[in-house]
Amino acid sequence: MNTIDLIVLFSTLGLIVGYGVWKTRENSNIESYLRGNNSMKWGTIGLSVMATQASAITFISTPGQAYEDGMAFVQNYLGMPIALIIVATVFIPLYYRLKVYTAYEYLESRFDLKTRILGATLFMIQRGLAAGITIYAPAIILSSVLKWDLNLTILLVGGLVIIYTVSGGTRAVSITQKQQMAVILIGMVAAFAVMLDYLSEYITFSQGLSIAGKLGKLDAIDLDFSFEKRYTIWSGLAAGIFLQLSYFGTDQSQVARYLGGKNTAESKIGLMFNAMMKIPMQFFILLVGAMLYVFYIFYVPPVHFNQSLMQKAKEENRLRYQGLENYHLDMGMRRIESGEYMAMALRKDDDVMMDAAVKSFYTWDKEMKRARTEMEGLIKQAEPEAELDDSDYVFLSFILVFLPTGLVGLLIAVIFSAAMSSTSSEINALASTTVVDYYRRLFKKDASDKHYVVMSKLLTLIWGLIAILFAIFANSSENLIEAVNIVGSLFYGTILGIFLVAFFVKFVHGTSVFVATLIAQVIVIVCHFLSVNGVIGLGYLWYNVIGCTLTVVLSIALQPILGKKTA
Amino acid sequence: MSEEPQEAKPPFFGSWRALYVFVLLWLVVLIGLMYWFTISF
Repeated sequence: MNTIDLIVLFSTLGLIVGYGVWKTRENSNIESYLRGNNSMKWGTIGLSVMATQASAITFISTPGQAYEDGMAFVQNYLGMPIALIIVATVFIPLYYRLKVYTAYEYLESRFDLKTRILGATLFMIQRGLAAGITIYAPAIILSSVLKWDLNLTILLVGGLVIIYTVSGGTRAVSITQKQQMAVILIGMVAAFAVMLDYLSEYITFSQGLSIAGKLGKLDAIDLDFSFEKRYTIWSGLAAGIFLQLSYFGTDQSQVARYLGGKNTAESKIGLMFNAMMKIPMQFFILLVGAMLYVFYIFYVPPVHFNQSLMQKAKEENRLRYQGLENYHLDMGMRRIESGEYMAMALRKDDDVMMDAAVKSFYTWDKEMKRARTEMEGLIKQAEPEAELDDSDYVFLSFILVFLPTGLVGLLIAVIFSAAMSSTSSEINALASTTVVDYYRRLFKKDASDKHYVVMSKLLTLIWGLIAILFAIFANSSENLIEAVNIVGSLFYGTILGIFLVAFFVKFVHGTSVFVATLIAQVIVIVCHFLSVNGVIGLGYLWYNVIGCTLTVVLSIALQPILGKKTA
Repeated sequence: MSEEPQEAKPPFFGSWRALYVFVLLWLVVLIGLMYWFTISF
């Protein structure tokens, strides 16, 4: 990055952080710090909910996901509008009526203290891990492409977040998220426009879509009933409802966003805003990735997008490295010709010519993949532990190589903003849960408001530091957007199950649901272990259904055995 | 769908039920458009 880009980057971040700290400089009581004085309107809530969910992983990893596998991932969000309607009609009125600070407070009044603590604990395990990934994920990639030290990058992301989240609490989180979303949306649209401008030298946007479609990158909706496929319309609608319902209804990082509303109406409208805008937003981000694939037909891509691994391969065997690079480039040039034939076939509306062009494309594509496989072998020789999946580097590589000066800085600011917006919600939620569900409930029940505000700030700082530590010691072998959804799916089902029993199965009491949840959680983890080791084939979205269903069914089954309500 | 007795109506559609129905219809339209997108290109 050059000086102008660095200025754009740090100015953008500085303005966001500074504005957040200044705007929320007075937080005199716990009501203000944890619930923002119930002052927020639906627009702030809507953007805040969206920004909390859309971490840097969304913007780094999702285009890469589409580049590799097409747009099917959008189906992950199909259950969201239905889930949000349920949250609006069932969860919001209840939380407002009970005046809770956290979702888990409700569980004590409905069941007992141990169930409340279990719910809060499962949330903190899941969200604590996710907070580490949310910082680690962008940091590892940014440090690799920008050649910054990894730990310094982690400290930069985490440190900036801690400053305004500790200072201003939930209001600071929501206010900064508005600015962050604006930066994110402007940046993504600008990047897309630049990509189309480059492509216009060869093809129109419509022709680009046709080529992407012919090459299987635009399959947004899959009607297949397979349980093994990760993304189908059925997993998105059925299993996705469970994931989204648990996330928006019971995950404190989202509950805190809408509990800060002026009233239930503002919270509900904020959620409906999300229900309508999230899927189009995700579709657009995936479309960026699909069009990136077309872009890299006409502009030969690097053999491997992770340039730091390429450097290691070069140092391992320079001659072999150069040979593979030259061969890959040569095949890439021939693949460009296939792309041009495809464009010509589209202009002439000639299906026979198109089929021949696609066949030619795959011939050269296969040769490029062969060169890539050999390069991966060289990388593994140089670094046996190297993670070869480079889909998370595709979009960043495009940004750094092809975007003009200034816009590079803005797009890197997009990624930092997205990381910060999610992490701030997470550590704010973790601190709230620790103060309300543990500290105030179990240890210090009648302290002053000022005491709890100080403890909240201290715990926000501690959770921020824990997230940074997790990030420093983290390692990931999955595409990052999938990693964070897998971690979520491991725990969301059981947490949702507890809440569904609480709302709808009134004859079940604390001990039954407590034991049922523990059993269900173990079974979900076993399912994941079996799936990862190839014993069973099960898409991770289904963990939510399994965890939730087992918790509910086992609670009902155990109630006659485990007896009456505990005091 | 339950509603709080004193809760304000939404600024559009006149009732919460109507707003939720609109959101569901929007979902159906989105799925339809994305399916059309899938089969068209």
